[in-house]
Amino acid sequence: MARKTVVPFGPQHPVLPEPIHIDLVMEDEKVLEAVPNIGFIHRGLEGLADKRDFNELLYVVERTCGICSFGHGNGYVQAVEKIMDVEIPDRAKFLRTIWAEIARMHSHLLWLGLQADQFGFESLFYEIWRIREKVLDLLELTTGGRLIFSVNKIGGVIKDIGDDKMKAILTNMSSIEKDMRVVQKTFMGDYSVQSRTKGIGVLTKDQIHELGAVGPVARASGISRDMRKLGYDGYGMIDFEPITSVFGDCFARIDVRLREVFQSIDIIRQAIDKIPQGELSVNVKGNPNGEALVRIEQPRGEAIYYVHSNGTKFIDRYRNRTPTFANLPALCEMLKGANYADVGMMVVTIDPCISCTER
Amino acid sequence: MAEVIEAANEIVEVDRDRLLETAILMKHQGRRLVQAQTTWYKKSETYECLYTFTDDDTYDTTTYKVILTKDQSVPSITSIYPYANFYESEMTELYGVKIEMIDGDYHDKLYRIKAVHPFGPEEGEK
Amino acid sequence: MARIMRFASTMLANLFKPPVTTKYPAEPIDFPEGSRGHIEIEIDKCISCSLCALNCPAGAIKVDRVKGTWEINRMDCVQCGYCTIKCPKKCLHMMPGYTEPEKEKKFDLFQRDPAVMEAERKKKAEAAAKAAAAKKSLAAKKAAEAAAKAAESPAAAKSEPTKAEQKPADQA
Repeated sequence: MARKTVVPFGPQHPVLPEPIHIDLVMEDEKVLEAVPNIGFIHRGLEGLADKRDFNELLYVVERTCGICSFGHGNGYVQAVEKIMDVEIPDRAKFLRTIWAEIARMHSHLLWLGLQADQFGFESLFYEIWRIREKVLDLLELTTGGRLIFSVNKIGGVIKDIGDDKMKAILTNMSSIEKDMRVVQKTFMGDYSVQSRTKGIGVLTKDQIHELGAVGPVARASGISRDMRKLGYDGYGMIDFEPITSVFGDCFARIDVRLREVFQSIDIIRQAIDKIPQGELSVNVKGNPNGEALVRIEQPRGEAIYYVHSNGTKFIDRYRNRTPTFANLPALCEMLKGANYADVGMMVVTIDPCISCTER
Repeated sequence: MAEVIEAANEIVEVDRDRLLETAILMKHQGRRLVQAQTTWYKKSETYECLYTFTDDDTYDTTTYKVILTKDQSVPSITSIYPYANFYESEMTELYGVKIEMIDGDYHDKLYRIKAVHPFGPEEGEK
Repeated sequence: MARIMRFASTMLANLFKPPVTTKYPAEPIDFPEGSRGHIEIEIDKCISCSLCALNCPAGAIKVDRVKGTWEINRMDCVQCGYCTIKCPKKCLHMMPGYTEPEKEKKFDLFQRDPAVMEAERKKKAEAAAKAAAAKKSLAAKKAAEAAAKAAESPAAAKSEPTKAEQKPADQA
């Protein structure tokens, strides 16, 4: 019986882009238990809800996090529109879909780069982030912002994508797809990647269900669950199937996210093909009164937006449950029995976004 | 044409004595706990705790709302949904709701922040 | 089939390609049209309504109505563009070019033309005087009507004309 020791992991650690602290109870090189702590960048954004009026709050909500920014804005706007019973024009729905998918690509490419960096594949990391730069340029071209777009408003969107910009998106998508095929071949076929990720951090389908994990972590274990199937925005008019894998290990999670990049490209092409002409927004009058709970699929998984309003300009409560918070129990379970050398890998595979988690 | 899943999404009020019963029923139906949250409403001086459960096949979602006064406590559902301890720890730490018997309690140490119950009725410092 | 050095061909090809990065400070950045960099104001069009300051989520804008100034804290501004939507005169514009990092918070102060403000004040005073005159004439008209009515019905003649006479005196 070896002696138990507690090894602190984070908040500052080479593999962590954002601060999370995990106490690892170790026996030799094996992790027995993992106890996470959060709160290093808790800003109390939910508490701002009663100090900003509901239109202004959108800009606060979007700035919760730089990577899921569009998702947050979209979820909040949908919740308020649900309360006020507003049906937005079809063109606005499709524009939101296009932006959400470009944002998903940008998030997944960021994560794939970090993952490559995590297991020491620096040149692959640079290659992926070179591709991501094209996505960011597209976002700046269409919305004006590279990370935070601020194109939503209650009742629609404020910017249109013209025909020339649509063409620019399509040409860029083809070149991104070509580049991503090389990256996919490397990730899927390279010996060193496989030896580092296969069979590590396995979660079975039942475990995922018991732990309430969401998003690509759940889909990598064979649960075909995708909130986009609920048909919000333009997703109701687009053909796609949730991408799943059956293995449930770190390799499967890379696989799922890689294929989701191609799925996003496909959805963007369909959306540009089907987008109707028309108005960008409808006029919204009055203040929201009531409550609504909206679920949307963010790059990291299912996110919950709850808005409770009282008929005045200021809403009572804005709540946001982010996917990383739901994936924390899965991470703790995954870490049990793992080697210390794999801890960084597993923490990165749930795609932790801590500033969303703490808000 | 793509199929769209028409899913229910409703908010139902339950009594706090019936929360555990409801959670057990949800567990038997194979539902997943999506989130638990609470809010302190200054105007009515009540806590509103929301527990959302979803069916992963049909995407049906039900949110149960429990209304508490400041001194009332609510039973923990961690014995039924073990991973609820993160949500319940968040509820006690940020809002100061009294939750009985949390399994895997963090004792105000999940969030490493200076303030105690920053969104609750009485704010303090650790 | 797993293979070692899958990425070697890409890496070798990259040796002979020009870099994808630009030499930024030497070469200027090519901002696309509509890039959200900073806020610019056409101060001549501004009417000091302070809607931008009231609606700024970050509270970065300050408007002084009396002095006619418009001040922005460049470091607090989050480039959301909500003020450009809210401005009734559309004199705020989102322009490309980001705020450069500095040691201290940077404030930009814009002063409206005093001559324009003076003219506006005069116009306002004139409008107010006009409104007062209109009210006066309206009251006088009413008084005349009341007097006419009073002449028709001698019973009410005592009370009504006095009321009508008091009204313009109060407003003045």
